[in-house]
Amino acid sequence: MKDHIGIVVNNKKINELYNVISVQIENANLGTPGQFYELKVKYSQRMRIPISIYNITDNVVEFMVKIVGDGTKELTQLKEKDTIMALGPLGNPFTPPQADQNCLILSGGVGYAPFYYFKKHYPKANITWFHGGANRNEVFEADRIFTNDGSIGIKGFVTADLHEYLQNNKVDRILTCGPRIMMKNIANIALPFVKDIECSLEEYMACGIGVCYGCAVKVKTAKGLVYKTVCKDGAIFQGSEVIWDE
Amino acid sequence: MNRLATKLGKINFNNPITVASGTFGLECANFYNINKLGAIVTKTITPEEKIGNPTPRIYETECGLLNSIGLQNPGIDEFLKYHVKEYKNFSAPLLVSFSASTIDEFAEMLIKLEKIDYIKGYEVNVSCPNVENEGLAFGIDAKIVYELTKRLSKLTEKELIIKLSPNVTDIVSIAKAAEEGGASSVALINTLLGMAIDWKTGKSMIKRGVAGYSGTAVKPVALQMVYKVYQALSIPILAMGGIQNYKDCLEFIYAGASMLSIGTAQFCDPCLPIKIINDLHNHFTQNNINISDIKGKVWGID
Repeated sequence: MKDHIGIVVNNKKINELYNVISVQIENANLGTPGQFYELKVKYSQRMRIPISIYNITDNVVEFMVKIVGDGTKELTQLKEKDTIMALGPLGNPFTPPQADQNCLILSGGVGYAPFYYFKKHYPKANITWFHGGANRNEVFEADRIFTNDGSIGIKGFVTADLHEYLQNNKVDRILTCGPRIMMKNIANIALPFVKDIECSLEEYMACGIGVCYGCAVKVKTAKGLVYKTVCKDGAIFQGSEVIWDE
Repeated sequence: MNRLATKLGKINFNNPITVASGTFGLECANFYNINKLGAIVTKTITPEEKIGNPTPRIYETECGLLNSIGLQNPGIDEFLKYHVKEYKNFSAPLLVSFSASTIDEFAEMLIKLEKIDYIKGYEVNVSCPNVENEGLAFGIDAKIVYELTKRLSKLTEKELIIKLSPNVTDIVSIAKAAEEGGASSVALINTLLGMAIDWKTGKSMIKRGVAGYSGTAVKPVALQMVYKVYQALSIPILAMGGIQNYKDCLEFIYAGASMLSIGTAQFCDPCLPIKIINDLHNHFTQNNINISDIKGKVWGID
């Protein structure tokens, strides 16, 4: 973990909501699927923004950024050769898939990002990928896609036919990232079928290194209910341990 | 000659830069040599474990950060058993922040902490805005601050810093009460009270509604409080509130600070405390001055 000075080598607009920002970072290949960097435009007085690793090629880390506020908008306005501070890689990766495991990926919106690199990083893994979004701007290549407005793919949430799918298919692991309500519903539907549900959580984050306890998430432990940090203890948590209704 | 050398009531420090309680952890050793800090201040410890406040706990708002962590900590017994020894081998003086609900509890905690010889002093948190009846109730009442400080000052020869709340009518009267009770220094300011609401839905951005507000926006507020307290007291001041760079530090020193804490700004740059130490050193060297040459020497005020 280090606060790297990154250089923007490309900032590609995918659609009105999404960009992919490519940043040249020292030791870029240290990052693993599920980890993230805390990004900050140099000289910005804004706090850092945690963004998942979307892809790594040579010495470049790619970040998929969805514009949700002024901070993410600032990131999408970066130009080639601009400097960006990149603190990371942070957090824990998804557990590597085993050869005989059937992995089901369920992503929502910008929750797509970590799995692009997961799939690339583990080319031999047995992966089925469902992805959902609000509309056609929020969906990307996957085995099955869903949109809330039905503009492309199946109309509905990514969980629309999950129960039926789990009844008819052998799934050993679920990996998910997206809105909290989506992951909560996935945990509720899937836990009777699949014990191992790795959820990549998001919370407003400050330090990124586990000192401020800002990005807390309530989980069940042997000691009882405790707050763990998304940045250091996570961002990956088991669906069965998270207190979803906090 | 070390131009950055400074002193609170009882301890000499190599430089005036430390870290605000709750914004620092040993994870910072990934970014710099912790021994370069003037001092280390721990996250606040309480008599029992606190799991902390419900989420969301933080929200970035205009020019600052709202936080409602709720003093999440393992409690003093766990801290003394497992955590305090992690600080043992640092040469930077260790200041432990602690808080409690009653004067007796504060005293019991201090007695336990006194057994650790490498703890060099205490920051007594009577000003956290994010817990019910814990600490803050003390910090807003001069009489209670006097009673508490009097009790604690008899129990220790070490640095005893009372950390003050800005959320009071007259911070000077509270600071004076700490001085009269035997505090060796005061720290100010803890966070202001703040709030943020999602304008689209009306939902509070913080689960508990009201939170502590820190960052750039609070600097002028902190500065005038440090100035007023310096005018009224003879014990030294550990100042904090929105410090972003060495220029902010100089303003606080002119207002009367002997030492400075970096807090929220570390979340933008984890290496900031060390950068500020270097910048201050360069400034003092170039201008051939020491902290004592400018401390409290703000001018141009009628």
